[in-house]
Amino acid sequence: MLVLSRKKGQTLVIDGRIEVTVLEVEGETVKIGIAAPREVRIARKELLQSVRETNEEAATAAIDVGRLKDSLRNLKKNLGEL
Amino acid sequence: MKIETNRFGEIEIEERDIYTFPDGIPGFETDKRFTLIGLEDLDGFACLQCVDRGDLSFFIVNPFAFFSDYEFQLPDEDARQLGVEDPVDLAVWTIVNVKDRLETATVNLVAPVVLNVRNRIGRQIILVDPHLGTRHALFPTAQGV
Repeated sequence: MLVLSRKKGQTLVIDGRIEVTVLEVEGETVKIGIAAPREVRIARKELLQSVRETNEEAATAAIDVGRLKDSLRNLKKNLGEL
Repeated sequence: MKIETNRFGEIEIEERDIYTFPDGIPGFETDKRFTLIGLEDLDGFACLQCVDRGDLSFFIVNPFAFFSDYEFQLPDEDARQLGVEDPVDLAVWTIVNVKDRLETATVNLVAPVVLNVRNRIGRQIILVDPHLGTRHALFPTAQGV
């Protein structure tokens, strides 16, 4: 991992086409501006991690289709029409 | 072709029923072929079954049937990778997380599964929307029932 220091207002250029600018620094929070071509996907890492985790959980759902149907029928009865 | 599944036993599907996910699904990047299985008597629900792994399936729901104000802008790059020619060709599903009780099931609204029914390409899109998360209650009024 490359580690370097930047001051507020300073920019990094990655691969000649992605610019990362430090916009604001306040306490432990750094506001960053990113200018990149549209095809570059940018996401918060914790969101990617969360999507992966929920997918893994969803894939191991133990409930079977029959029970799902029963549950839905009961739920609808209890809640009235959805 | 016949495929063996844990949830549905042996099922018969056609080549045209197979959706290709070029990047897989986060957490399952190497699983690229899925088919959609409708569930009778389960309005708004379906199952996304992996064609190559019988033990891999996801319950999914039509988000618009459960969340009336759900909407999102499909990012350009995702639209390109899905090969979208006409938005009418797109089907949107969201993955449900149901452990053992439907009452506490959650839905991942920030990462919808978008299918292009014309070329049968699918992707799980990750949206940038601070109001959407990975665990929205499917039946908010049933929590604690």
